[in-house]
Amino acid sequence: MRTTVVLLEAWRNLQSGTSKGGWLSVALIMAISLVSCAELWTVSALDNRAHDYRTAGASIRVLKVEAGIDPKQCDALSGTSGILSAGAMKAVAPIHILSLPGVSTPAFETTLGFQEVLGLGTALESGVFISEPLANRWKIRHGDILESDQGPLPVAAVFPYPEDDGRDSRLANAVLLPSLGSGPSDECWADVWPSTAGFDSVIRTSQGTAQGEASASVSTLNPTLGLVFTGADEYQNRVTRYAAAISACLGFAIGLLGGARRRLEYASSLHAGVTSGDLARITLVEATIWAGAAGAVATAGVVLGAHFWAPLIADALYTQFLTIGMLSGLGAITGSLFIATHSRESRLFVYFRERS
Amino acid sequence: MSVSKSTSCNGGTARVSLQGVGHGFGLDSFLFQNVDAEFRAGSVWGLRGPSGSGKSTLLSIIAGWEVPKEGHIQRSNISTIRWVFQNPLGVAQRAALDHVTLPYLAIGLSRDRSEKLALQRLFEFGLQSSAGKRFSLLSGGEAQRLMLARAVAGSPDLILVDEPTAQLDRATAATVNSVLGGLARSGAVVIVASHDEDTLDACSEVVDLMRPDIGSTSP
Repeated sequence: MRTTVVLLEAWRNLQSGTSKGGWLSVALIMAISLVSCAELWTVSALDNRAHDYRTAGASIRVLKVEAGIDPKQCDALSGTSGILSAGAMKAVAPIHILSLPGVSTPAFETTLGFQEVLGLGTALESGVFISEPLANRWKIRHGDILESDQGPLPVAAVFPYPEDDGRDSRLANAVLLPSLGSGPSDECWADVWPSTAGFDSVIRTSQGTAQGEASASVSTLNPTLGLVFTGADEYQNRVTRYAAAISACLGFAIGLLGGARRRLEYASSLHAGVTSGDLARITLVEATIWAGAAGAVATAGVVLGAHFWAPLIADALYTQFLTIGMLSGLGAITGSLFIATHSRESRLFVYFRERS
Repeated sequence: MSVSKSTSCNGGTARVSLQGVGHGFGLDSFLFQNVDAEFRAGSVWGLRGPSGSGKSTLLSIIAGWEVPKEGHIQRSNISTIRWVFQNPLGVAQRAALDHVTLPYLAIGLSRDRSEKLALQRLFEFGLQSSAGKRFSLLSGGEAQRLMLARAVAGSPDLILVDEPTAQLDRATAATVNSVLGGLARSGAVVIVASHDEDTLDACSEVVDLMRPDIGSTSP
């Protein structure tokens, strides 16, 4: 059979609806969308958990050694790959706010690095830092002046520090006083991401050499979400890591079903003198067109959907979506070809009886 | 017919000979026995027998798709076989012309040449006005005649037609019977199994499965 004839036969089969390319495309688009969305949903859920974990301060590792932390060494930890920020603090004498007689407010001296751990940055005006819950209770905001027993204290920054997410609540009701980091501190906080206990030994190096103890325990600021974030392991072991293989199988099944419905037609064509090679070529062209179109449409739709629904993780999943679309399309083509190449003229009677 | 052949590609006349053929599906039961016949090209051979007498099975044996329990089959100069079933077997969405064009395309002819030849076949089987119709829109008689035209288009050496009018009313069956003679001009050995006397009347020779020992007779 001439190549132009093969192409035209395939096109006529598609155009006339003989190949049921429209329905098969819809089925393939649904399969690709289903598998891709499952992957997107799974990864998105993990990403949300990771976001919650970090937002709750659970990724902050805390080393407590009373008057045993070298603040400069602690601040220097942020230069370590995997430690996003680190800083030291120590408790100092409580502050008495003049407008709140009889009430003493805990105070802590913090290093420059500690400001980064709290998400404040380092380029701040001089003054104290207070948490949002405390600022709300006192009805003050950034730039206001706190009159205290230590003189007027300008509020240089208000930092987010929820009281109800299970984290160490001390800072929620305290005034933080920036210091240059002279003298030993009590605690070294390090924001480790991805969260792991593997950096604890590094964090312990922030202990002053005189008091250094390798066994000093490191905990997390918020233990309610787990001592370490297990998202990386869950990502590696997620069910949808097989999404590409599953989509290939679904595509193959769709191709098989579409082809199985046409076994009688295939056997009849063979009986009319069409060679099995020509039949395979016609089927290949047909399946490539409908499966290719379905794969392209579904992948484009999924990519577009991910771009708007989960823009932060969409970039990381584009390759996976492309793989799912391509493999499902290849699976569909393979399934169609499998039936076409396994249809036998000698089975014409059998297919005919099965149809009847 | 303009495309016909009286000899096969190797120059000999196509022929099928049956000697003492018998078949059945149990150990000792037979659908038919002692069938002796010689089917030659140039005639339309009828195979008479009631439903269940084994006509389709004998066709299958003649085609070489089944092995008889007893007897011998000799096929001379038979290389291509075409079947026409009692239910017209077409592709619902493709045009009538496409069905007859396909065998020509399969042997490597261009589409233009194939369609020209196919239109001639359709004309011979009274289907020229239905060439552009989808198969699903053809009447039962038209669909069956289309299958006969398609069978001829492949220039086969043997055409086996199984109960071509069994699913048709008498008026429609008559349109099919009227073109059966055209099959003979294709140069193939043509065997038509039927229990319809009108169909058998359209055949030039008849073998009666119930009385195989008497051989072929004119209807």
